[in-house]
Amino acid sequence: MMPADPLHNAERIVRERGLDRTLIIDADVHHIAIIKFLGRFMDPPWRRMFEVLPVESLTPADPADRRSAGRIKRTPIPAPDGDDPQRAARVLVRDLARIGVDYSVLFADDMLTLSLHPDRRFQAALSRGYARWLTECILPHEPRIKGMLHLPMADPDAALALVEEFGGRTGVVGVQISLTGLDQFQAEPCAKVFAELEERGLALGFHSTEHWPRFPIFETFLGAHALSFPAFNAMCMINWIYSGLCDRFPRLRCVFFEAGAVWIPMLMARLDRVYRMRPPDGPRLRKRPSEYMREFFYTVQPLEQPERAAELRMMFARIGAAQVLYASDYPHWDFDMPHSLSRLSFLSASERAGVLAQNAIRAFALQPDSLSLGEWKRRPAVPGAADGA
Amino acid sequence: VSAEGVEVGLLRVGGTIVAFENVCPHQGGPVCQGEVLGRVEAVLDDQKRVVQERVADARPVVVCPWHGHTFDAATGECITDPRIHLRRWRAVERDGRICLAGRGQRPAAEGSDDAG
Repeated sequence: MMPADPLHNAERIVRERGLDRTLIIDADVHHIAIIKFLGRFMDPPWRRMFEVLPVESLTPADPADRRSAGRIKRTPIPAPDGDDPQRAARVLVRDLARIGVDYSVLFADDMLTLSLHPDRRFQAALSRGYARWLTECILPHEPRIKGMLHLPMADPDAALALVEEFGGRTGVVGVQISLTGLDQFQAEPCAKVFAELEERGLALGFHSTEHWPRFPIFETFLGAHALSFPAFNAMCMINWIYSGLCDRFPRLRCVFFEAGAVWIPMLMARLDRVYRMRPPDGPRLRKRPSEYMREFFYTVQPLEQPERAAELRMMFARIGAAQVLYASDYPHWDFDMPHSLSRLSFLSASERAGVLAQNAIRAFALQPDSLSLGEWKRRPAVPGAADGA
Repeated sequence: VSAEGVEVGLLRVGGTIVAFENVCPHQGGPVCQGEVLGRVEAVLDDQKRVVQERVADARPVVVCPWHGHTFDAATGECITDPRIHLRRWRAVERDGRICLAGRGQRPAAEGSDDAG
């Protein structure tokens, strides 16, 4: 049973907390289940494969139940359809406006596990189909959505070609690497891709996810979900730092997605400790690992709620509030409302504006003059309305 | 139902009407529009081996549809953290009508403006 309105309360919360007067940029929202639709944007002969085979047989499956046996009610985002390819994006923009978001950075669910596919040609072909769909059907029509391409890092040449062809198109603000396929991501063969991204001013996103079969040690989804997000981010970050890529590409803006905040100070302390003890093992580093980590951007959704409030304040101080981006991760089951960050009393007014929008403007090189509050925020609130707009 | 401009959800639990504000203390979700279910519990044998995981229908819970936070349907207490409560109203059933008599206390810590 779905509630009558799965986003009931959302607009009222936004009004009550004054977030309707604040610009909010959401660094991470998702298309849901678009893969069946993407076949028509792929090159032959891949296109025919999608036309004649069940799509479920083409992509790596994850057995996890993210809806908690129906206890959690996802807002239904319609799958794209051939007659109206923008419909799903319109619904997404409408829902995000209701939780207070003015602009969103979009990525596709299906891409999060594409790097697990054993056929590297398929990874490249589907990444290209997604880029084509995103830049032809979504971004030119939805100015409140910005997009990130998916990089098939198993094939650096294909990744570079994808950046060259699609990286300059309207609304593209960066690229994402899915960390489920972290073992395919090798620094040296991929350096030319990073150089191209830096030259073009595109953000490089490292998107963590949970894929239970990658962590078969866990007997429960709870365990796999709790650890896999920070684990993927941490493993990628360690390799990135010790490969010396921060100094090789100092203007490349890196964003680590969706692993909360607790893991960041933990990793800073661990990496600094071993680096002090074994500096000869890190000859490509010019400063402590934690200093590089403070140059990255982080979406801290789903934000933890530690036992003591002071712990969260300490975490933000270690990371640097200027590096934190609000992300809803909508419509996933563990999405965060904007007030998950704006209510943090230790943030100053400017830090609050930063985490809600200004830091994202820096991370994704958005043009501030082109941004405005969403349409419903500009309308007066209806007195007594149970749910705002 | 609406009471003094506040949305309140009514649940019948074991023959008693209970009333909670329709706001989850986590992130504000419409908690009263969630499922009311028995809580899932593990049953151990005398050697402390798990022999069964069952649904205890006599102890219903209400589950917020946004993130799954779960509250005792009779008391409003969060089943994973007793410091957190739904905001309860006093409800009295009289002659087939339900009267809401008084607003409850503000929910405890989780999700408050003092977080952090």
